[in-house]
Amino acid sequence: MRMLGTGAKAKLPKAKGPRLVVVGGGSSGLTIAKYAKKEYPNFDVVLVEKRDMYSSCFSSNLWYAGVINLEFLADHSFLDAAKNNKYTFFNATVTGLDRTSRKLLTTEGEIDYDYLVLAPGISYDYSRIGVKDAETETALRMTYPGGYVNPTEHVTIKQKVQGFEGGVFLLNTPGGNYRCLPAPYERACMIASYFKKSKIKAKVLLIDHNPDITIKAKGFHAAFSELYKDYIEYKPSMEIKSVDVEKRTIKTEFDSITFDDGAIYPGVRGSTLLEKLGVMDAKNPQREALIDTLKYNVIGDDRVYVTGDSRPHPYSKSANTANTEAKYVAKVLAARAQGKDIEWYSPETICYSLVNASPLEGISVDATYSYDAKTKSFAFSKDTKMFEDRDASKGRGTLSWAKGMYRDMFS
Amino acid sequence: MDRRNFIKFCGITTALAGFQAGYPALNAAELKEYNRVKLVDGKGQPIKAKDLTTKDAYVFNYPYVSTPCFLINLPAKPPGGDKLEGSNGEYNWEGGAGADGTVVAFTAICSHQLSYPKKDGTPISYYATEKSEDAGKIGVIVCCEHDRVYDPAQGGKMIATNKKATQPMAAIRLEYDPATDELYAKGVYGTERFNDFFKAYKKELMEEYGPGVAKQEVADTAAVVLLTEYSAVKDRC
Repeated sequence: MRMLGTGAKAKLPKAKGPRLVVVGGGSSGLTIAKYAKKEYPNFDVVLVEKRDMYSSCFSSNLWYAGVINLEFLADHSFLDAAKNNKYTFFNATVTGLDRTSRKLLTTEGEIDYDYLVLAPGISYDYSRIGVKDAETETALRMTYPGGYVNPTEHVTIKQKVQGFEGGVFLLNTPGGNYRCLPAPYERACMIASYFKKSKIKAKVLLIDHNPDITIKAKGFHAAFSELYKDYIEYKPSMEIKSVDVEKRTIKTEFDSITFDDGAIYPGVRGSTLLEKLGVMDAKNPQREALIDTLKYNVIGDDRVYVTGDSRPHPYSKSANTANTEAKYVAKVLAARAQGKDIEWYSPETICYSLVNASPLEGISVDATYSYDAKTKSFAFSKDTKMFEDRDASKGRGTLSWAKGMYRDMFS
Repeated sequence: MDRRNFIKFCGITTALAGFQAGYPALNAAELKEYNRVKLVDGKGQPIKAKDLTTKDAYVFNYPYVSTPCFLINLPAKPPGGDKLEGSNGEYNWEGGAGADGTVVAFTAICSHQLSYPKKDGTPISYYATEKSEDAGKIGVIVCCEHDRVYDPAQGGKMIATNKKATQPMAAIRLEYDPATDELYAKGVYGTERFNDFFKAYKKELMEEYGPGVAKQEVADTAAVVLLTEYSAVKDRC
């Protein structure tokens, strides 16, 4: 049997400097590809991405309420990003890694690397909502997709919301460090805002694994009670134990809840690619990367790095965190390629959430992190600020924040 | 474009016969010289430094037709001489111009991710009298998009303590004529990001200005308007 991607070299020009291969064209990978090249122009940077078209996960909630269109999320070209920033875009799927000979295997051939960054994002973990068989998991993925990984999930959810004729629309917030802490609550607001404006007799039922809203709680609670009293029912401390897709029923510890449609967010884990490539921390409950948490290299290998939402840090798994972290890692790579090193500094988590689609109103958080060298742990820094009084300014800010992200990664 | 070039200026103010730059003698700083343009009001009449309010920022487009700058009359004269770090190394901020040395100008393009005041709204504003929630004080330029806080009295230095890797806003070199109380813009120093700006907003600038117009240099005069008039809505943060 011949494995895809083995033996043949990828069709790429000969490297003109130390080759930095970045896997993953999300917020982390796009930013590292751009800024590593800026920091150290000698790098020959190749971005490997399996999708042939970009569409952002961030801001996708806004689409469900009709605040933005698909162009807002997807009118950003991998090719232009690469051309504008002097790196190469390579459309392929990673199939393997040989760290001894520094080769990345892809469906389009092998790529030799001097430095490798893996930024593959998250994978869903359905076992965390009691789903253990492939049949149920597949049915759930297809019928009630989470909407936090693939653009096609966003399309399905948008069709569900805008075609909903009434009843209970189920959403949930998982436990653990899931992707984008405020997103489930923002999504509830956006869908409720759409139902309210369209006068649909429907309710968003938001089941939360956590004892309370996990971030910007005051702002979201105010929106739920003041804007969506008749449209959002919020149930904290309810863990989904099982799902019956056919009967549209979820079971929690004490209840059985039936719904008409919805989007079910299972647990989150580091991308399954980490496991395939042998860089996963098996002891990590979310199966994230086994890396030096200050320098991001795989333990014992200073040529391979893991960044973005597959990192083991307790940081918010959000676009801005990935973007700002990537700039730091780009500096680490540039320094190390020149035999130097740099001091750690915190990424930023600036995150806007829209709570009202008409008129536009938002809330936000501006967080950084501190590192305790004694315990080797991270926490929110004392500078972290919440802006939870919703207003039009932060509504507009939600859109301009996203535009800034696109500009930073693509232009 | 012919007039533009890089010059290192050290004691260049002595060459400005009859004009007062309004700042102390300079260390070497990197100035990118653009057209020298007179700052005028909406009717084309020269603005007088003494008439500038301290309660809001003004906007004028310079050095290009599409690149907005803030003109700010600070309540007190800034000391100037701030040593700032740009992409090409350290430079000194010159301080203010005008009779009282209080008038300063910077590009209104955020050094972080290039937000700027548009006609329909601005995420970046000067908080003259109203306290910025992000910064916890007045007298600062704040970009709400990613919470960057700049101090116009310190040469546009980014002062949000928990933010990294953000350069100061590029400064506009002003020239002041004490005989007439008039102001001129004549160059940019610090880290200008006009090329990034043109690249990032290519589509929008094409729609607003038409093909090729956005990159044209302003010549002779630049109209100065209050930020509240320039942008319909001001984001607050």
